Amino acid sequence: MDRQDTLIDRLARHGVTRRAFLKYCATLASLMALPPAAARAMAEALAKAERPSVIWLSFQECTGCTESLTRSHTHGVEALILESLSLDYHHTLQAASGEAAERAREAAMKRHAGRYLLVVDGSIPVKDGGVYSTFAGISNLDLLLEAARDAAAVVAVGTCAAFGGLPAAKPNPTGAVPVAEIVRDKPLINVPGCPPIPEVITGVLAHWLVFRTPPALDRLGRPRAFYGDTVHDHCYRLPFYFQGKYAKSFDDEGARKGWCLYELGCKGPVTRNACARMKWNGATSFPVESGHGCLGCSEPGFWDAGGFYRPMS
Amino acid sequence: MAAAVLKELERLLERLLRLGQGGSVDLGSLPLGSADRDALQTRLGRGEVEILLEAGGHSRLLETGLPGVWWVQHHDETGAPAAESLDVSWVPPIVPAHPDDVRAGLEGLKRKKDC
Repeated sequence: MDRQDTLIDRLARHGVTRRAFLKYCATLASLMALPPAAARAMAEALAKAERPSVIWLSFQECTGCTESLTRSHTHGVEALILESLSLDYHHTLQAASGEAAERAREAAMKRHAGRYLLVVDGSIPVKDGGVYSTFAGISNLDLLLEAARDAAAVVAVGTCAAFGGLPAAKPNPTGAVPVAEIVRDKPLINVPGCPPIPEVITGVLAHWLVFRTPPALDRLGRPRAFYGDTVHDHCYRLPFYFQGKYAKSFDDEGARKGWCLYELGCKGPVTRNACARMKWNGATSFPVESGHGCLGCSEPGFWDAGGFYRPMS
Repeated sequence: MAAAVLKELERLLERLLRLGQGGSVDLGSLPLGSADRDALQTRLGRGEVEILLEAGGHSRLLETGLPGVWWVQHHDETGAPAAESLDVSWVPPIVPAHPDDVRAGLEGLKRKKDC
């Protein structure tokens, strides 16, 4: 594919019409709380966007973030936008392996210096010189420093990359730290969640494609459009919370009637994420709708917050 | 909330008449309760035009009783609601064909004629 090949050309080849694309942009603008007029500007800019180079580094992680994205019900235009990224390096998805893969990464970083988007999932072990996670003989720490140097921006996907995640759980044997503790001189967008909602990941990438700037972020570096409200704010069980109707166990009458799961340890009131609004698996459901309290997975330290089934107060 | 939306529609309609360019109110981003929604629907009423669009899912574009104000509902490919807005325009901007698409269609027509 030559560099003149734009997103709209690629979409057209896959049978996606301009109107379907405009619809996607209207939806995305609404989700990201952008002014309505931004939908048309997004459509124009995205249509002309060339394929940006993306280097995706996976450190101490479980591959759940990649699984969330690639095995999701993300469909149509969103999926094609992902395909339209030039994913020049990704352990799980790339065909190359060994030295060939590392050479491809180095070549892409050199060719697109200053312009590529660096996506990181997983935390970075820094204890004992970072020996606890390496590939091709390079520690995660050194590789992140090298890749971030010429990146246009960095996206930390998943709670491990954004806040340390499970690898940083006490006693944090590898000295795991988030990207923000290593990369301090580049625009950084945190997209936490264990895993993040796939449409949130694609939304952040689409925003970058169009504006080449991070979206409005909260104090933890999360896009406000997706992490501005708590799960509790949009939970369909909220009326029961106000009525003081709480399930006391997972199989009692209250649970069967769909009452609030606060007393079963739900962390929805302190968890900023879009699960209750955007839901999962093609907007089918979200954990609370499936009968389990929110674990708070998009918040720092959720793994050490005192127990998933312990009420907050 | 319904009163605020109506005020914004008034401003956009004046702009449409003055500049030929209206705008849009994103209903998805507003905390509209069912009472607000009912009040809006009652106040706006129904117009003469209904446009159905099949593009990446089903869409319905209803002219309201206020000419130039369109109630636009988009659904995704699974049928789930994707976006909802009140568009103020002569015709909703998603409806007219894009010049590039018309050009491509014309070229295709000429190629077929030459065969």
